[in-house]
Amino acid sequence: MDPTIDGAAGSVHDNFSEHSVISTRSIQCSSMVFLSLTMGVGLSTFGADDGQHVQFFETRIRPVLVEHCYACHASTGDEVKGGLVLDSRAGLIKGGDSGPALVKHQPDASLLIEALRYEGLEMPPAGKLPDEVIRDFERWIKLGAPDPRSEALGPRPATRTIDIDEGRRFWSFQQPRRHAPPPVQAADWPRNRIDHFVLARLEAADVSPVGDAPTAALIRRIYFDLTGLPPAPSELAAALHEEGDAALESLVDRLLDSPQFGAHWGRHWLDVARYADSNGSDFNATFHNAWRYRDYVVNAMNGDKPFDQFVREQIAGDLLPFASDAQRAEQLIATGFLMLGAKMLSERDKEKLQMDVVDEQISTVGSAFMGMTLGCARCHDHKFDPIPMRDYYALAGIFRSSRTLHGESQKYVSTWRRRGLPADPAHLKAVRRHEQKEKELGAAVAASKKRLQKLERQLNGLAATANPLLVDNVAAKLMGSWKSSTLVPSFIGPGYLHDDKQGKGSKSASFTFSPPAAGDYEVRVSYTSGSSREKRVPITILHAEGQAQVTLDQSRKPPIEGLFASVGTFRFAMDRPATVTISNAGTTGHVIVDAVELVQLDAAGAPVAAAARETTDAATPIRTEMAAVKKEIADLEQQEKEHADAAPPPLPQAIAVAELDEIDDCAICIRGEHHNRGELVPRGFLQVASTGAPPTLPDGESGRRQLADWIASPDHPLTGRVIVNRVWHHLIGAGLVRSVDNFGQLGERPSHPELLDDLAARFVSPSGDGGFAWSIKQLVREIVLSRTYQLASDHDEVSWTADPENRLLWHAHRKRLPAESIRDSMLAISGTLDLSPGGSPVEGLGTLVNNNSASAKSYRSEETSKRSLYLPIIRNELPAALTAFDFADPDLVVGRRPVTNVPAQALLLMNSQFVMDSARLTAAALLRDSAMTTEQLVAATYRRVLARDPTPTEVEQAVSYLQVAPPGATEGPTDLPVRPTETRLGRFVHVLFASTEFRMLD
Amino acid sequence: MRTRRSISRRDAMLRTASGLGGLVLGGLPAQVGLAGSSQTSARQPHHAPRAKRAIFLFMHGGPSQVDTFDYKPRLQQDDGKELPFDAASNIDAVPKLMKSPWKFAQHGQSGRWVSELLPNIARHVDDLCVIRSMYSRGQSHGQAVSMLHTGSDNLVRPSVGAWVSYGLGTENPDLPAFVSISPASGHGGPRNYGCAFLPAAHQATAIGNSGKLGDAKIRHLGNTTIPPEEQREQLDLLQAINHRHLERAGRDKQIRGAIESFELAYRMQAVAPDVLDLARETEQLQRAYGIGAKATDNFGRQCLLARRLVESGVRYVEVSTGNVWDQHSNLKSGHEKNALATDQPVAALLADLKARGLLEETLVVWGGEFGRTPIVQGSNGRDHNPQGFTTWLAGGGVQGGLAYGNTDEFGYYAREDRVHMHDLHATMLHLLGLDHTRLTYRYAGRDFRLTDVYGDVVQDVIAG
Repeated sequence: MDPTIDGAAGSVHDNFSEHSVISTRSIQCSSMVFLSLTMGVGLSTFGADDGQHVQFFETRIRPVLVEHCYACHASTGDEVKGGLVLDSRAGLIKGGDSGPALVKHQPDASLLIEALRYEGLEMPPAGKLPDEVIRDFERWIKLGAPDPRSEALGPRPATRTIDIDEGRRFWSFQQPRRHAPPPVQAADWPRNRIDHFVLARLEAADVSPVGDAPTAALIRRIYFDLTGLPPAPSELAAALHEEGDAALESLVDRLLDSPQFGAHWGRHWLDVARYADSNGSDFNATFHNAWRYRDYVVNAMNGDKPFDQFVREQIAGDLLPFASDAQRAEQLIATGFLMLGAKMLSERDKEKLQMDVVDEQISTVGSAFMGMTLGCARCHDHKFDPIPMRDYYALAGIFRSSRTLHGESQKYVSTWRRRGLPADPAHLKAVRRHEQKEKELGAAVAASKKRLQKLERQLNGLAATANPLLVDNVAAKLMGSWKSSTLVPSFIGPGYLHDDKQGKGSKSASFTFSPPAAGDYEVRVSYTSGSSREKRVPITILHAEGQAQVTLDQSRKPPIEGLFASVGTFRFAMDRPATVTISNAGTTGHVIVDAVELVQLDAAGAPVAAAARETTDAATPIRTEMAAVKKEIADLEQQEKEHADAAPPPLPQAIAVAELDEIDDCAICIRGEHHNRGELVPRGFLQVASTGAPPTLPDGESGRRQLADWIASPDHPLTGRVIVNRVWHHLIGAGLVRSVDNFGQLGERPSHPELLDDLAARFVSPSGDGGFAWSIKQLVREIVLSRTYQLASDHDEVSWTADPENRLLWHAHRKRLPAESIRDSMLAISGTLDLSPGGSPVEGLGTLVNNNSASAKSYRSEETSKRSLYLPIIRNELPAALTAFDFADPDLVVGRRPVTNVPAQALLLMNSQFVMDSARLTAAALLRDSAMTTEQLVAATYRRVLARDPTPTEVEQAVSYLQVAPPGATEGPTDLPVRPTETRLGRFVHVLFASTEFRMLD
Repeated sequence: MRTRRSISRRDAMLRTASGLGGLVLGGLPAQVGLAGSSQTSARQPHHAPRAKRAIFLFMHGGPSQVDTFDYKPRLQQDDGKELPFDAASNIDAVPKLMKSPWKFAQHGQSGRWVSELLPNIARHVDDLCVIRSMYSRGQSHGQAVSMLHTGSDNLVRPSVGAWVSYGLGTENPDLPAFVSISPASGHGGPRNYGCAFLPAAHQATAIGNSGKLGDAKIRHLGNTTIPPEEQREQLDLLQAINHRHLERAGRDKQIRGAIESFELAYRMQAVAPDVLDLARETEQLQRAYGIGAKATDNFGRQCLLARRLVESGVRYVEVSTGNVWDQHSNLKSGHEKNALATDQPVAALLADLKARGLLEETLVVWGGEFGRTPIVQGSNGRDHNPQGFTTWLAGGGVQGGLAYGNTDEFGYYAREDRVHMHDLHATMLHLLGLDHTRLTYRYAGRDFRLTDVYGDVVQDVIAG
């Protein structure tokens, strides 16, 4: 920016309070349409009242604008927030990014007023202005916003508009094509087509490649790169025995066919898919079915599923045709890809949550398949890549029309969509049969309970007729209209009455008694309780000494026999009326009227006689029958419990996406604010990576299917390049484009553009004529069999000086083993690795992995000796053995794991029980062959742990370590050739486990 | 005055993009891959720092501002009356005012109001800068806790301590730069002390869990199976083997870094246990922190450990209460219990830092992820309130005895001199000598900052 403008701004603004300048949000503004409509009016000359109006502006409005707004909204300021300037009439009229700032004469329709009132927008952000100031602004707008300022709209930074056609000229948006292998001088160097491209660049730069890797190192490299596991000593010996190209090819083919290939390469994709078994974030909800997606990826790698199909299934598997239940299940499970992101499930603003989920999906799809950072275009046009906000919201329309979230697991906390999978018919039958029986039992219990209620009613009815001091509602004198009901048990007589929460104050029910003798009586009122019942039901008792008013809480369960509540003890006389009146005056809840009973008390206050309803002969058979029904119910409930315990496993479900009922385009969220909606954008794809007319998506479909087809098309400029580069990165140690997840302007440029294009073009071509037909395995094979891959990792000072970063690939990158391989190889070497597949790692976990309370225990996974791929990947609680060695953070798309060297790794290798146990088990296994000399033992140890023979120096050093008693041992040093103890050899293996060579591929 | 920059943010981004602007901090590695020790070694700040290190006392759950530091006579008068303006959306409280059950009094020379809930902290009020006009994002704990720790209520971002570690490194090469004491495993758990896309060395070393200090050990720090002399012997053999590997490999930064990290780890093993050992403090001081008394023992030990860590050169220490301040009901008994557990230890920490001359270069921050509503939830609780709450600062460069900003007359919404969480972050970094607009890290194609595109340093809270 022009420094003189900046200087001027400084002088104008020097006396502003600094807190008036904070602006974190934008005042909305934008419309050119508005400008053209209002310009004439705005610039009109002032009439008779104008002097007064101008005065009003100058005294009430301008000072406020200057003090509270200019710092962020002046054309002379160093930054204009929200694209809005308020220091000129024209600027005020034109508005900023999100629409016109004011509508003349209509304060309530003006964004400026909305912002000042803190309704939605909050301006100025440092604090709401006093009400009288806001009223001034309202008045001013009502007057038509008279504004005498005549300054022209100051210079504003030109809005950058994205030129899509210009953008297409960037290398990664151009269609990759095959290139003829360039000629090379050392014609015998290349083993295959790849090597021509690599050597040509080396020769051009006059850099010599190093020689081939030693066979043992190469074998170790291939085993780890293809399966993530070391060669067993026997495998190593066999491979060393059969030297030659054919033997190497057959080794590679064997490893490509091994199920461990999928376990290793599947994990590479799971890094990109930010795979986890729980949500993490604020509510660490368990993803009980995510493991099915994990297994889907492993199977896809092992089965060499064509990559285009792999892409389609993950984005739109639920929408693809299928030939079998198995295929349907597989395709549904694949869409777990879209579901696995971490979500702020407790976000109470569900619209925001939805847009955040959509954002996560767009960003993931962008990085994973296209190497594009699409999330940048949520709030503004992408600053560096030709991706306008429109493209982002075109994609947002697609994902917002798909269902990821579904329902709530508790108040405010969302949960996600689960879809049933086609099940094995026998399983399905078992579940259906179980459900049927469950229903039958449930119905039987309900029927018996109903019978019991009926019997209770009969009994109560008998009691009512037998006991003159118990008056049912049927005998009550009613005022107003009461509704009768039998809905809630239990009650006296055939039913009870309620006021329907209507006609408050107009209804009452009076119960009249003839007391058999004068004396004290307890008044008991019967009602059916419930939470909607009135808590203060007024009851009037007319007794011998006058009238009493009490209230009854009918929301409480009646304490006496589940039927009655006592409302007090009163004296009644034979010659005086005894009346109890229940009213609904002054109430808000339901008022219930069932029955009233008087219980005569003796001098000590005890009931005179048990109520007559106990003794009626007619009651006896009813009681007998009731006992029988009660037993029947208990039996049935026991059966229900047993049935539930014998339930078949639940039907399989997947964490999978679905189409939404309402498919709709998405409006632009101005500055990413979901409450600030702009123009509606038709659903679509990235323009810069498309050719031809924009797609038309059918009304009834989200467009995911079409998006999947577009990404998985051989014509897409990015998809092939991005996956080829990912595979190259894993095998060679650095991508041809080193920023594997970013092929945009800020990503790196390819070191060998022709090679990348040639491989990408071949990768998406049908097989034959050098095409790979989207086969990952063929691509892996091609790279591994190149001389480039098979070079030694040796240092060469001359080449290093010319190319210290090894961009030209003059030697093999020394790769660090992934975290999984470090753990898995310790298990393998100690002979304890379990190669069976994993199943669900989260079976015993509830809805949440751990709750959010202060007393919550942190999650502990169970010990397992399965491959690390199958460890539970609980977000926020990742396996420590993996995170120490830069396991991919499942909150992010990770195409290239960081490689760090931190003391925590050293501490783990030195002190972890797992490492020490593995070392000791390895020692025990080595010592099983008792015929070996210590030298032979050292050699066997090296072959087992590092997959090579030790050098004479190494043997010497190891032997001297093994034969010396540990420091502090009582016996002291001895030079007798003693066979090392398991402990001592274990310490030595421990040292090798901790060595740099162990965790690297030379 | 606000710092004026002569180039726009966009210019700056383009310049860094093309490599001309370079990385924000001279020589700071943009990519991981260097030795851990160089990643966390001490670095020059952007400007003269007012504080060399910070302790954040996290009152997890959200203590109530209107019952602690934000005295509102109107709230006391209008108890039971209807709130005269709209309550925030998506809460369960009803719009009926509930007065504070505690009495307020003025304290210190500054005469600042503090309730009787925190009598010990009240004695230090002249050292506190009480920001009464905080506001933040996130109506639920998860978002607000994340906002407080990472500056984002929804996306995965590095935590404040990780940024400080990245910007300043550690003063003590044998200790990590960032330690989180007893962090919660819920509400985002490690994310709140994680490094996201920053190099792994910047994530916190955690001690204890969920507000409980436990045995105060760092994982894998020490070995009970292998005697120390034997381990040294192992290490000597290992380093000999590693050096041979390095010779064969020539110039290999990875191997060199690993060799270095073993030596560092071995030294840490020797140094850290001493720092973690609270028994090295006098009994009198331990008692002052409340150690040994049932209510205060746990938090007292956490606070004392925090002091020992910052004294030894750790840059950023967070101390957590665990999620205990969330009184949706039983405000009185709940807040009383929490105040009892924390008031004395926090006051002792301030006094101890001061006595050692550490307070003036140690920034202490006390606060929750949000405050609580002045309106009632249920019969005797308060709901979440990110719309307005109190956080206080003390020590390193902070204006003591100041009450900054205001909420409305009931203590609900921040109204005057509002301080957003981003502003607090900007201010904390500023006091530590870091410019929040220049402390950036390139990831996924763009430069990230703790404050995203927001935040302004609150100059008024800084001592002149």
